[in-house]
Amino acid sequence: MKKRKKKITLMDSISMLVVGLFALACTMPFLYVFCVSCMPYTEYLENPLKVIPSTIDLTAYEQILDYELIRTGYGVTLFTTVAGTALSVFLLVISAYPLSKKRLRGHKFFMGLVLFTMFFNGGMISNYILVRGLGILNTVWALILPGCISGFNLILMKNFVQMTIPESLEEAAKIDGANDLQVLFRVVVPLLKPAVATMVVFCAVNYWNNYFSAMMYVADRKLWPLMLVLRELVVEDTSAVSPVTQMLTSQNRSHPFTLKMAAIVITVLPILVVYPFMQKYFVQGVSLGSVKE
Amino acid sequence: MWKYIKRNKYLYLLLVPCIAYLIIFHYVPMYGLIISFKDFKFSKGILGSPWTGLENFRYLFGLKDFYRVFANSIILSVLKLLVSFPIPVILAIFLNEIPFLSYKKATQTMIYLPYFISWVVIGGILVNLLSPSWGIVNDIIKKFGGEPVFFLGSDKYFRGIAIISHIWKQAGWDTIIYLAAITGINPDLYEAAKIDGAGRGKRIWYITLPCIKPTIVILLLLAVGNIMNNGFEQIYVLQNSSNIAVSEVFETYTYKMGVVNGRYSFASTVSMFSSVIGFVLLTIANKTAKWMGEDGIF
Amino acid sequence: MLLCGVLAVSALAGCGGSGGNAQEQNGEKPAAKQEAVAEQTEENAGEPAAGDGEVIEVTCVLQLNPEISLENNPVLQKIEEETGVRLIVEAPPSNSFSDRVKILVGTGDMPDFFAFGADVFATQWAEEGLLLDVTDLIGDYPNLSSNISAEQYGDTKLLDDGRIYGIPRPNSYDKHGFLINKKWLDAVGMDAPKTVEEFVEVCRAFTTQDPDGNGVDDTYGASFGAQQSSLDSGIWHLNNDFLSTAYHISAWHHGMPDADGSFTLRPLKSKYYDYVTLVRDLYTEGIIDREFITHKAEEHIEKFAQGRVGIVGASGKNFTTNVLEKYSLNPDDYLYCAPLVLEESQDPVYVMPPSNWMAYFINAESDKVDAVLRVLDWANSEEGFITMQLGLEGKHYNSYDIETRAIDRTEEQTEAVRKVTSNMFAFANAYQNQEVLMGGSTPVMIEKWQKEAGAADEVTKECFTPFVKMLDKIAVEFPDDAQAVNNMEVRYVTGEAELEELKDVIENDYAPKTADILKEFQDYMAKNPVRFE
Repeated sequence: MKKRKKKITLMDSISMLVVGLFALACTMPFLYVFCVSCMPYTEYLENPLKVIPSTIDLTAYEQILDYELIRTGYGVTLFTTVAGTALSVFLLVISAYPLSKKRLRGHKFFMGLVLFTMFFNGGMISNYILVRGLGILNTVWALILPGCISGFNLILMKNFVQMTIPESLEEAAKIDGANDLQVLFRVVVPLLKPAVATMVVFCAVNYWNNYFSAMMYVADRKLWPLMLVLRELVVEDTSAVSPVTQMLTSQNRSHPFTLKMAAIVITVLPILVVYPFMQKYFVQGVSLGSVKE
Repeated sequence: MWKYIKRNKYLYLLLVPCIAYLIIFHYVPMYGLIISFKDFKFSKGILGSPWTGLENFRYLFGLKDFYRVFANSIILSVLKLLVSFPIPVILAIFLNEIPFLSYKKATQTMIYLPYFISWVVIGGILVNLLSPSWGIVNDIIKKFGGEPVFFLGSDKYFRGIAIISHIWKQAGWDTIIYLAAITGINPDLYEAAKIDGAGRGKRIWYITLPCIKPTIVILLLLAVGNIMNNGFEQIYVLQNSSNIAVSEVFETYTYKMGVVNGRYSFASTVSMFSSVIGFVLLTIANKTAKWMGEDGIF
Repeated sequence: MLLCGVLAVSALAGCGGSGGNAQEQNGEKPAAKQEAVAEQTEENAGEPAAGDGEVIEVTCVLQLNPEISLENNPVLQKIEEETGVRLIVEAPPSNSFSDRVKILVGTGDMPDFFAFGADVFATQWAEEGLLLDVTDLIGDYPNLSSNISAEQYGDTKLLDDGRIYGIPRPNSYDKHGFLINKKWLDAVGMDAPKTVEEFVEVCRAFTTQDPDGNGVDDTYGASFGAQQSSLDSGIWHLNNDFLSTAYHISAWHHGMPDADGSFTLRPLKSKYYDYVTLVRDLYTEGIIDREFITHKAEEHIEKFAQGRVGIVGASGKNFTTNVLEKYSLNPDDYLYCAPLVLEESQDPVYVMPPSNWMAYFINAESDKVDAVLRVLDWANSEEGFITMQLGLEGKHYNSYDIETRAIDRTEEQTEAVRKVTSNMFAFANAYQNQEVLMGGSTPVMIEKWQKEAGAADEVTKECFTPFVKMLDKIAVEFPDDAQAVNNMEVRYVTGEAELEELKDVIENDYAPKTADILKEFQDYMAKNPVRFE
């Protein structure tokens, strides 16, 4: 380490400073949300920009975790996130590979097909009728299948394949007698680790945050994903919360604002925990040489 | 022909699930688009509702403020694109240059945090920060002898606030793509450059940037295609009746004019209009990119 | 490969779905059956299951808070016991409730009945014949007439034909006065304002005399509510009615007569310019919280609770719960006051249109109309009202007195009832014009509420107005012009525009375009007079 420290150049310090400052600015709102979520609401009222709570008050968290729907919601979300991401990423990889071949006949047509869906959408009613027609209304599949392949991700993935995989590598494999499938799974996929990791993060976050499908296609509260439950617990529209609900929720209850903040923390924490495991794939490159051997 | 397909049978086979998916989940319900040309009746459904031809579009174009709001929208989008698009690229390059792995990892995790905080909450924080009477920013301005500025209550600052808060929330997250692209670069290239005696700046300029150029181009093209979308949630949060002259953008305006007032078909008309513009712009941009020697999307 | 297969199969299912499959699932009934339904509704009494002890299942979509557990719900069981109807409840997320209902209605998946606001969409559905006309059925269900007044039914007379298309969810009258910071009043040595002039004086004192004594110039007289909806600028809000009613204008209750007793639209009222000019003057002088113009929801109340402003509009019905308890304020430090007086009569006025909170609409094709109405009828009875609001006696409360609205229950019971029911669940939110609990959750609060709300009631004239629906048309038919007036109003208040510009928009654009609607409104008011009590 010592040896390395001596080598710090101007470029190093500039980049560390720029990124560091931006990172600080980015952490502020989250830190703020976190702090406000564990202080009594009266303290927030005294000074809304207060960051250090004088007493730590976790009633908001207790209250949220006390709801039955939170537990089922976690289950649903975990399942849809894992299953959905696996399915999405698999589909992305196998479709991006042929789409990356510009020489393939029909390539343009297929790309057009993908792009068109990014701009035009049948709307809520026809989508609902489709999902109903497929017989997956009110099932967990209604949370997974719609939105499983995003045009944006597909185009990115295709671009990553084009960037990372030199034609020569495939040619070499082909000469060795491998067919396209073998090339894909033995040569291309191992090289695509950073891209796949990116897609995993994107898809997982999408599924994790998705409440729209549930709101549209699911009537049973047991199938509500976490995000939908959390949104409900901290209803944005205060007019829906009536005086008597207030009365019922009088003592020892958190103010809706504090609840909202705690809900954000609960949503983000799991991502914060999982992300570092994915991160190593972004930070370290994959050398072509390592695959050739 | 058959021979060609047979030779590439695995490639086509790999495409089948994706195409099938797109057809089922996107193209089958696409008939819903026709309600833009209909007067939607809840009792009759999409197919049974009476046709009205271009009536909905006539209503849209006939709205008095339509062109002003349309201009607002484009101005904000273009500014946003110009100012905020390069930020994630720069951040990603800087991030990649950081020599300490733990610092790199920590800052990288930090910069994507705001992405997970909803606009409603960010809006609330901004209101507290920028309040002319009680906000921290104005406290500082007052300390230096300045007059407090009513940031959120004036048309002058709206665009600036929208762009800065957009960068704040989004830029960190967007670096992920570029980082992945940079990580995908063959390290051998850097080694070779080192041997040739190229400095850091040169390596960035001659290796990193050209290698991630296709990614930049693609994201730029998609951003151009997205020009009609200002991000409803953000604008809605930052908008109020005193900055409405500039903050009223296509999305918020059409939402008020049609959707709130019960014109169900109108929402579809509006999104159709934006989609067509976006699609056309993307096609033009794509052609331009190709003409400039880039790959483009299709 | 396996995946391809799965997708191929679902592709086939998809094709089938748009044909026959969907029809079956979507609950569309064949023509023959529809006729049968129609016959039955005419007779309406002849529902087979009613007396036989057989349970009828009725589907409904309701807006509920998520705490309520629908499984083995004792309130639902009680409904079944009492009425022989088993409710199959779908409770979509309340943030997207109306979208969900629109989809269900638009795709033929409409339940037997559902909760919804009596708004433009409900009107469309009534026009299209999707909602059952209940006008002639109500008479058979006594509680639907005894607990819901004829005026309240005005809400669900969605079309011009005078027919009733839904059962309103009755609510108690709302009244709008203001809360003032007593400690500040003492600090500046003034009394709570009764007139507009006094109000301005107090605002000035609150702003300039450092009433909180912290040595910093960081307080303002009042803050206003503002709701950024498509229909309004940041100036109109029920929480500002305490001030604007002194000018004969209520933000949204258009039935308030003008100074000369006539009726007209808000921007055409005789003192409209006086009011906006007052707001402009307050704004310019800086003795109100200027940021009110950026408010979206409850910021004004928050600032009041924070001790940043000394006056805020509040509802006489629930200022204790919605402000004092919600923000944990000391009740002794604040005072509720009647609205400011009208110049002519020197009386404060509460504008009180009949109050509903959503309505229940019945599917015109439902064959269970009697069952639905039976449930709603029971929910509007004393027993039904108490059960749906408070749960079961002995289990969720020890005793309750409907006369005094006094309840005896333990902390555990309060905790338990939260998972069972809430006032959102109850099909009636008021019984005989009063909600189930009034005033607050502690005896101190209730006493304060009774004293101050009562004192305000005594001095205030109550202006009972009918529902005014036709004015909603302005925003639908002339959205641009309504918007233009809003924008100019704000620019005038913030000093960016002059009075002439505002007058120009109103007189040359707004007034001529809305003339027909105004005429309709005036004719309607002639037939449905307001009464002062």
